[in-house]
Amino acid sequence: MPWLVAIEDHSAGARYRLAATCLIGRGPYNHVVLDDTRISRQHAKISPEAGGFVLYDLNSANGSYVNEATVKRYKLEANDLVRFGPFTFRYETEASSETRRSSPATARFVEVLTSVGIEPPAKIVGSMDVAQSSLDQNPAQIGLVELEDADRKLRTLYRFLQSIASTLDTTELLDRIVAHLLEVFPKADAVVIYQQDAAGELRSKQVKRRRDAGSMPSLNLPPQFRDEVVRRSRAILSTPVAQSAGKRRGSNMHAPMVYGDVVHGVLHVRGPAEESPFSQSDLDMLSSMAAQAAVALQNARNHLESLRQERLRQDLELAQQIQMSFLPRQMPDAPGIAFVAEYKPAYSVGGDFYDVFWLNYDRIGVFIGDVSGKGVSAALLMARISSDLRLAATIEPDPGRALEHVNRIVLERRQTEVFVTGVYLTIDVKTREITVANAGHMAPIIRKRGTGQLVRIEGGEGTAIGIFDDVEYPSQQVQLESGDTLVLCTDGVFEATNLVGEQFGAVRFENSLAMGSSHPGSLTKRLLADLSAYVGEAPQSDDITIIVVGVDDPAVPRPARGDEHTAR
Amino acid sequence: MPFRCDVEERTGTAVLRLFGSLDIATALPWKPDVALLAERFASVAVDLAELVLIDSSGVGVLISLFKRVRERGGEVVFASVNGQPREIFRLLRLDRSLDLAAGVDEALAQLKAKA
Repeated sequence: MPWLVAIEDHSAGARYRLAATCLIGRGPYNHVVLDDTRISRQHAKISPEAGGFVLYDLNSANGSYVNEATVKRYKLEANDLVRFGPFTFRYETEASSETRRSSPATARFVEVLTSVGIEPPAKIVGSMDVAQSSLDQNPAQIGLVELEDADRKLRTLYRFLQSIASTLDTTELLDRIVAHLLEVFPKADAVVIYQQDAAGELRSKQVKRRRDAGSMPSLNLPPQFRDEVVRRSRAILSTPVAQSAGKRRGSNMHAPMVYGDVVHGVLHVRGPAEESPFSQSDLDMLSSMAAQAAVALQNARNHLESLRQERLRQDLELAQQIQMSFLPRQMPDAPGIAFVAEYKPAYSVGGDFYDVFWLNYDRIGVFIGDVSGKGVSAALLMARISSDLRLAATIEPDPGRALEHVNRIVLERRQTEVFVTGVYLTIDVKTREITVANAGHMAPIIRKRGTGQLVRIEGGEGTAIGIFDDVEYPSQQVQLESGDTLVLCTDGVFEATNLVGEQFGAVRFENSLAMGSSHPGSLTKRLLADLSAYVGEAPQSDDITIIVVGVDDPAVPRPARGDEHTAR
Repeated sequence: MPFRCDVEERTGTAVLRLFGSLDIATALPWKPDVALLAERFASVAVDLAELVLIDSSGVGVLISLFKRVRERGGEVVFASVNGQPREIFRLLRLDRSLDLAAGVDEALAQLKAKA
């Protein structure tokens, strides 16, 4: 079989097998398309005649040349040099091309298969070993058929991976995937990415069509593909068998994007109507690209998740800062009265709260409270209630009236499942008389001077804040003596649980209070040490807050001040 | 410990029987049901006989039920509040402000008397 072999720079090495009449020209319908303005649309033809091939110039503007002589009709002989405009070819017969057979892989361009009666004629694209081209292939089958060599495939995949691996934005990713698919499959007229919507339906998420493409691809993945592609994770190449009138025909490729057990969607590459341009080799290529795309989509998803968690962590940190800013930084410096506060949230933020503040020149307010619930919402509510209380305390000098005021404000917010327990008391720094109101909280305890006897302040109690609108909190007056120590805490102390699930409880709590030094600093340290020894490695499940108020005994020397102020 | 709530309707009154542990883990999923119950019934008896444990989140949901029913002019009575739940109710002084009954029959009688 004779060949026409391109020898000039434009496509050196391209070989066109001459079997039937071969049309040459600029127009796309020619067997050999020469894209240059100096070439006429229908420039020349080579026809089998008299046991050989004859070149006819088809009235081209710039003429056809053989061995640099103008020809109109010329019977080709082996190794003739044929030139159209800037393109030169050598006419090789079977015998003369035999020598080139030794290195077929050097041929970069493929032959045109010019069988008689095939319409439309093929265009040349891609590259493959000439020796592998075969006549049993559909002449119209082009595209990646020519990308048989693994090296070329790998390079295409590598470029694809490079492009999609450089972004973590899902939208951008889908955009790049479809753009690449159109590039890799030049015969495709549209590519679609189907992804699951909230209802689990596979809907088109990204579509790219060529300008001259036909109808829009369908919005949902057709159900007949769903089972095979998604459930069985198989890539498929399909051609419609029967055609109903008006429906488009043409072949399609579908490939699932699967990573582990996660289906990230389906890639759909659509061929143009009336053509079947894809081969098994194209499908292999698409499968590989789909696998790469799935990895990239999984990366993007992981990235998004870690971003979300980072944001959550920052929110929590911010809430913690806000909450800490509401806790008193410094304890009031009152003569003969010492305050120690300890606050340990179970999570980064908690629902416990305390406040110690000057009400006027001779009275100090002390509040300890616990909001139902935990975490950020409880912490933010507690912060709000703290400012409510500060306001109420200035309006209402009586602790009971102040709590009633806070109760009304909380109820007005209509957060039905929220309630607050707390103790609010005022201390007269001159008389050392305390006035106590209790909203469903643990009773304050006084460790009496000398005997170490523990006394609960049981009076002044009402229901937790935020439940009933008609609650009254009667205030209860108690006289503190020199050497007395007042202890307030939240139930996180009692309920601190060890590894076998047993609670610290009231007895251990009271033992810890009654034994040893009564100085606020030492007492607090001892209580915390006993708690942590009891709990051991068990995680803290509830916030722990302790406030200890010590009244000086003139007979006992005061410890260094730094020891007393351990609030943080 | 899991939590369960069985609802029984007796002539316009809902009887809720609580089982297990009503805590931070189980209270949250129960909240939507509570909102629905509060909308449907103006008279509710809550039986805590089989409730083993309750924490502040659990109390929060019961309080929410109580407030929602009361807002619509209804009544809620809590029956058989014993053991750990009783301690919590006492600590929060809820025993003074909520209507408590020894058992479901007593609770139904209280609701009938109020209606």
